Amino acid sequence: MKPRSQSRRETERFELSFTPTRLEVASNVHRTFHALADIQATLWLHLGNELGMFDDEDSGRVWNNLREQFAGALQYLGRAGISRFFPDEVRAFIGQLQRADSIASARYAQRLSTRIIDTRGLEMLFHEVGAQFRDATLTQHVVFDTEAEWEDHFEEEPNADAILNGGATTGMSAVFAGYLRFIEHMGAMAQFFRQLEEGAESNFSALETERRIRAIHNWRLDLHDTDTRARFVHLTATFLRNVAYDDELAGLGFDPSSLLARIEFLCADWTGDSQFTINLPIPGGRRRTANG
Amino acid sequence: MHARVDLAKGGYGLMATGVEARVAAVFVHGFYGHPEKTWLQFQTLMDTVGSSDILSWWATYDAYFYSYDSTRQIGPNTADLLDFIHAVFPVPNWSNIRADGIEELARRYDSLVLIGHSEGAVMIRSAILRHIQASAQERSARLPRKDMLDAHLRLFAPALWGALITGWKGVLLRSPILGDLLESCLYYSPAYQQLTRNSPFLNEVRQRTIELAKKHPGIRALRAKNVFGAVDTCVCMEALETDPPAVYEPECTHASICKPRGDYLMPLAFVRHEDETTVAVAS
Repeated sequence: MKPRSQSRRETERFELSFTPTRLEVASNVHRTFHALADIQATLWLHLGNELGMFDDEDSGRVWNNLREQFAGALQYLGRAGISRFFPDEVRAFIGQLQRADSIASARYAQRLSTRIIDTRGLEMLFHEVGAQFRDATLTQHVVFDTEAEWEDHFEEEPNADAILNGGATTGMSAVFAGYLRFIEHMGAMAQFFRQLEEGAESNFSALETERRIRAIHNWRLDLHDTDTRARFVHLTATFLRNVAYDDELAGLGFDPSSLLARIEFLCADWTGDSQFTINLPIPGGRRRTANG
Repeated sequence: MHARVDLAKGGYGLMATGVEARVAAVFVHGFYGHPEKTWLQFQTLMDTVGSSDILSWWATYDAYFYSYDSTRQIGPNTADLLDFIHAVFPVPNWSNIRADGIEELARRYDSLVLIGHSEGAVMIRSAILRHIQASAQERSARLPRKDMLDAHLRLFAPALWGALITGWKGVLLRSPILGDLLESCLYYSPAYQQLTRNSPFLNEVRQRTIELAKKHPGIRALRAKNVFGAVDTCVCMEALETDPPAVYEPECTHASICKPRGDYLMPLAFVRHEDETTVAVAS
């Protein structure tokens, strides 16, 4: 048997998932989102190389294709734009990448071990991130909407059947479909982190890998940012209200506070902050307080 | 060990590299399922835990994780699945399943295992019926000897009695991350019994399978092994009268029943094609 090399196969898949099509760029998605995604694609490519999934040759080939859009994205965002979305260590690394001859020659001070995670688990992480890499729905609204645009969404309630049938392309139902997809993504990342912690050679190397991933990935929903957090909480409150006042669910005795607890858990994992809470009243009279 | 090859429409295969595989195992996910996420940790545990003595037979398995659009009707999806199975067993036709990257790989399988979750299980049973129907018409009611009718069926939470999923309840139940919150609630609610429906399609699949299984007791593919999560509330938990009695796994939900973990290895053992061997696996 001579299967194509894992590196070649995965870099080709990476290019398909992480690289934008002209159609997507031309669509009505905020250009800042795509500029950030272009930079992020380079960071994921480097991570894949550092963890040993993409070899130097394949990484170099993809980097040659990405380099121009990486430079264009940096120019578009400017120093202030980069500072808003990426932490210091990533900004310093981006500076290295601008000057680097090859993707492999740019290095973080703390290098990750290539033995930190099972190869197939690593592939699945990249597949998970790649599956919705260019899905801007939640980030576009929560991070980039103007105040007026954001308020407009709440003139209507989300329609569950439209969300369920995949028919929501505009309005609040579309925002909500993106919100729910993101919740799934947070859950998948949490699962990956647990797998990482169970299999890593040390707790330190697992936590260091998680920290690195959050540093390059969390701009899509930066819950430490006050405005982003407030909008995410607003959507969560809308979700809870619809669930709490759904007759069928009420008849089944469903407790919306369990839903809030699960979302808080996912947020805590996403941010890496175990103390993270949303602190929302539960519609229908039940009330949760912080850490309650 | 197994090496990955990509297949059409997002599916993939994990092909045995140490020895020549003699068994083809085809995994079919369910409604809104996913060829990777539905079967999470099968992909890694088949090599890690699968290298232990108790599960070493995994080394002779090629695993095909089939992918399809579950929003389409079951009929055409079943036809596509049957085409896929014919392209894999007993001798794979790599170009037909668009196995990307395989330059040369000699395979002739002795056994076929069809593994389904939820709607995927319905598709497998429906594919068997479709195959029998086509064979009977082509060969004047004489059934073929050695082909997929010898397949071993291993079904996780088969949705043979269906479920009704709409509204916010549907949104929650569909979610692999949030669904279990409602599942545990539904488990204690008699109201959920009203949510299930017998569709004419499912009724037909059940009736024809039972009739044929009685008429042709030697056809293995008409009898499935079924396992359900004891706290599954998405599907009605029942095996057909011609199947062996269903098995119920404590504390497993509709979604978790088919996801092995380090401390839950039952799914890895359940898909074994040899009927006579009972594999004791710590869980």
